[in-house]
Formats: sequence, C-alpha cells, structure tokens
Amino acid sequence: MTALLNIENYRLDIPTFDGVLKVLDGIDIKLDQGDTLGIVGESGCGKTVLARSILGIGPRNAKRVSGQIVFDATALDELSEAEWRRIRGVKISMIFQDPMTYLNPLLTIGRQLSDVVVAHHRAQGMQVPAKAERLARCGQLLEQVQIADTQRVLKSYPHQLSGGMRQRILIAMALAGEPKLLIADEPTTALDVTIQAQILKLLRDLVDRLGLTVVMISHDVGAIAALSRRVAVMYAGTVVEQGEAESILTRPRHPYTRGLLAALPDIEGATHPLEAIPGTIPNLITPPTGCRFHPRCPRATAICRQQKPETRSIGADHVVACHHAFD
Amino acid sequence: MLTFTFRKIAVLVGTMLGLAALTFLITNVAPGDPARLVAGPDATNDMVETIRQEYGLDRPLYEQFAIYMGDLLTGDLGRSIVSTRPVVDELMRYVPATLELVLVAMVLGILVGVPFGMLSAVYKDRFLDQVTRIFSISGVALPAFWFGILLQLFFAVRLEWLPVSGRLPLTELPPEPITHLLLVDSLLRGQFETFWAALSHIILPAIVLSFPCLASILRVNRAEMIEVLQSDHIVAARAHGISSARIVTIYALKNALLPTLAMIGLRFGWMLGSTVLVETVFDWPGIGLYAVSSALASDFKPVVGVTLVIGFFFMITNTLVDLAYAWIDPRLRRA
Repeated sequence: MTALLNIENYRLDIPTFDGVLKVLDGIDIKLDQGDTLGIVGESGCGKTVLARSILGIGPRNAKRVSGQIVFDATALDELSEAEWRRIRGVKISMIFQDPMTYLNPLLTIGRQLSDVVVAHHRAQGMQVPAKAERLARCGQLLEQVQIADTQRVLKSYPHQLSGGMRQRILIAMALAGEPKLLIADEPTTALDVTIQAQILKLLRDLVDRLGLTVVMISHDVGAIAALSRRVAVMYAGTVVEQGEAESILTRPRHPYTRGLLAALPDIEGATHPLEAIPGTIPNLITPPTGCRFHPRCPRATAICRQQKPETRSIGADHVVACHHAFD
Repeated sequence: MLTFTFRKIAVLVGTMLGLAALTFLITNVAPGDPARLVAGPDATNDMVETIRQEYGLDRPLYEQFAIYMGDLLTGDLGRSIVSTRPVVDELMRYVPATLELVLVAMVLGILVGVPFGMLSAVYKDRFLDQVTRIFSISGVALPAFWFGILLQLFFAVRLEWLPVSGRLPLTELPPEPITHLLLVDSLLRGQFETFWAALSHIILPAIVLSFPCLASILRVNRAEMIEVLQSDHIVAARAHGISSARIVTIYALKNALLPTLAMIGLRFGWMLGSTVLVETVFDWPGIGLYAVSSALASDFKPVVGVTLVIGFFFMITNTLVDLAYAWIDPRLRRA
C-alpha cells in the first residue's frame, strides 16, 4: 500500500535579513491512509513550517532545497495556484492554533463557513448550491462539531463566541470539504484545560467516525498521545525519532526524546524532580554541525559533531537518528 | 447600532455648539474694533458709538454671546460689512461650489486610491507598486498652484480639451437649483449638455485638489493591506481554499478599509479648508476665495460663517466615518 502522504528528504530554507534560516533539514515522514501521526517538538523546531508546506501556505519566500512532498500520488511542490485550489480544504485541510485570530473578525460565521462551502463546490467543478441549501449545509457542519444553537452561531461574529466554540467552528470549516488529510496545528494550545479535553475528545470522535488521516502538531505530548497512533519527534528542523506512539513514549531511544519526556510532570508517581534539557534550541541560520542536538546532548561524542546521524530502523515501526541511541 | 448612531449625533451637536462658542471668542479677542471698521476712517466718535449700539457691541460679552447663539440657531449669521448682504445668502452662493469641487475630488481620491492601494499591496515591490509609489510621492510633494497651472497649460491651452477656468461657460445658464450642486442639478433637470459643461470645468481643479488626498489614501490602504494580508485569518482562508481574488477583495480589504476611512475623513476636512489655492488658479467661485478676501478686509461675519460651515461639514464627515466604522466592524457597535 502506498502512503497517502510521503515527505522525502525535505529541505527548506528561508532567507531572512540576518541570513538563511535552514528551517527543515531533510525531513522523512510517511503516513498511510487512515493513520494518525503526531509531530512533537519545542517551539521553533519547524513543526508549523512543515505543516504549512504540506498545504502550500508556508512563508512566501521559503525555498525548497531538496526533496518533495507527495500526497495521493501528486507532487505538491509542483502545483500551480489554480491546482492548489483543488487540494486546499477539499483534499487536505487544516485546523489552527489560536481560534481567536484565525477567524476573520469582520465577517459572520455563516458568511465564512458558506464561503468555504462555495469554494469547495467551485474547486470540484460542481454547481454552487442555492442559498437555502448552503445554509442547511452550514448548520449540518456545525452540528457535526456538536454546536447546538446553529442558527444563532451562524449569525454571530467571532468576538461574540467563546474560544472553544470558535475552535469547533474552525474544525467545522476544515471538515467542510470532506478532506482526506487533516492537519491540526496545535489545536488545543490556546484553549483552557477543560476546553482542551473537550476539543481533543471531539477530534478523537471525528477521526474515528470519518476515518480521517491526521497529522497533529503539538508541543503537548499528552495531546499527541490522545490522538495519534504514530509519533514523530522533531528537533531543530530534523526528525530525530519516529514510530508507534506506544513504543516511543514508553521506550524512547533518542536522547532528545528522553529529555522531552523527562521534562513532563507525572501525576501518578510524582517523586522525581522535573528534568530540563540544558541549553536552548540552536539558531537555525548557523545550525550545529553533524547532529543538530549535539551541543545539548549528554551522550554526544566527536562523531556527533562531524556527521549527521543516519535514520535507522530499530523495531517493527520505530526509527531513530542518533549515533548513540539508547537500547 | 441605533443607540450608537444617536450617541454620535449627540456628540456632533455638542461639538458644533463648542465650535460656535470658540469662533465667537476668537473674533472677540482678535485685534481691531469692528464698530470703527464699519463706520469707516472718517467717522466721528459719536458715529462709532451709534454703530456700536446698533450692532449691540456695547453690551456685556455674555449678552452678546446669547444674541449670537440665538441668531445662529435661527440661521442668521449677520451681514457682511463689505457687501452689506446677509452672510447666509453669500454662503449659499459659494459653499455649493466648494462642496461640489471637494466631493468630486474625494470621489476621485477614493475610486483611484483604494483600488490602487490594494493592488500595490498585492504586487508589493513589483512594477505596479513602484509606479504608484512615485505617483503618490509626487502627489504629496507637488504644490497645488504649480500643478494646476501645468494642467491648464497642457489640457486647456495646448490640447484645448478642457476649459481653462470657471464653473460653467458664460453662455451656459445654470440649471434651476435643487441641491445647488451643478452636476447633480443638471442631471436631475435632464440638462445633459449643462452636465457635460460642468463636468469638463470641474475635472482639472478636482484632479489638482484630490492629488495629495488620493496619494495618502493610496499609501494608507497599501500599508494596511500588506499588514492584513499577513494575518492569521488570511492564512486560514487560504488553507480553506478560498480564492485569492476573494481573499484580497473581501477578506483583506474590509479589514484594511478601517484606517483608510479615518484618512478619508481627515482628508475631507483638510480639502475643505485648503481649496483657496485651487480656487484661485481655476477661478472657482468657492468659499476659499470668499474667506480669504473677507479676512483681508477684516470682515469678521463672513469669516465666522465660513469657519462654521467648514466645521459643520468636517464634523458631518467624521460622524459618517464613525458610523461606517461601526457598520464595517461589528466589534465597535456596542461601544
């Protein structure tokens, strides 16, 4: 079975005033239809840039140095703007981090949602439905994300609704085109903890019910674990470890993954002090040579400074990129 | 929205009264004795005193103020000393001409400034953007009297496409007044030839007057568009597959229009107050010329009248801008 999403040796540079940011450094990610992948990593590790590249909405001046992103047998990097429109929202769609700023403040929810519905019909060459039909469809989409008072919500502006409600609306918009692949970029980060749980549960239900393929991005390992069967751990533009969530979260092999998990509070056996990873994430204009994690790594040796570690398989579905991976 | 509207109108009335009081004060502290001016250089002290009594200038200031405000509310702005005609009558002659000129210039500024500002933002740093940049810098930099004469020389004298000056040819009778705006009245009366004549006369002065205003509208709209186009909800709209054209014209322009509107309101007031140069060059019978000649003759009543009229239209525009703000941005409606 060929993967629905295949990212191969993807390298991306972003020229800035201070120099060229080497944002993504050879990313390899495969995702089968119906599977769920969580990408976890610190802020600034390139998660969001990667996610947006999948939808062709990354930074305008970003330059692809090598590799490609193939979705459903289509090389996405080659697409024209017109071709993108047949993909965005229809085949791949996205949920965003902050529901506060990702909805247009000056248009009603109904207007924004129905625009999305219209765009999808146009993209697929179908006739745009009449107004009543569109409204019914919008109501249906809101019901799907468990919003009860659909008529009132459709007439509302974003500022009149709560954060949780707005996130539900963004999810409804993302699902409007019945996409195959859903990218969730930190969907719970900006929400209260209780709302986070609700949104995660809603996403879980939708993924199960609609059989969605999901890429979820977060720095919250808990949120990732709740939704993803597989996990990819990113550090400074590289994937350091990838595989089944179960395997990675219980037996991490990469020193960075270990550090990340050790930095998490543990409710049940809260006996050990939380460990922080020493140092900070590197400057991506002049990234460390060899393994990008070596300046912060407790196991680093001479080879780590000189050679970028190959990604090697260490289990049925578990790869790691480290010269000195744990056994 | 309704309470918001009423509140804005209440503020408008209050500001108008404040302006009236302020102009009264200023004319009273200004140097020169109006009674002596009216009486003329050869008048005896007795004559001046008689005139002082006649005009109520001997009464205490608060009484004068009450009379002035009372007159104002009944639409009486006094008489011009120079022409001895009621100021209201003279304003009725001059204000529509200026208002028409400013309105046409404003429409021109908006119709060109907003779309080109939008396009410059979309094609930022590309050819079109560079062209509009040069265009708008010249717009702000060129002095109106020089630019006006240049246009006259080229379009009126050299090409003879447009008339040099005036509001209508001497041979053309103005239409029976309805709004006192020639363009509107001639259309309403169905006198299309008069309309074309009026239009051909107003084009050049309107272009000259609107140029700096157009330039600032363009630049503000461009800057706002660039900022809005980078915001999160635009990224989201793109991700949802909304077309670029729709994103630019609806999702971004609506947000960018708010600061542009503020600029439009400010520029409108600025144009009303700065028509005098354009009116001089194009011999346009408006309030700019009227105000300057009255001020030079120390004829205070017309100056007060003009000040109040400009203030009135300025406040009206800004109230309209405030209402448009609330109409565009739902978050302001409760404020």
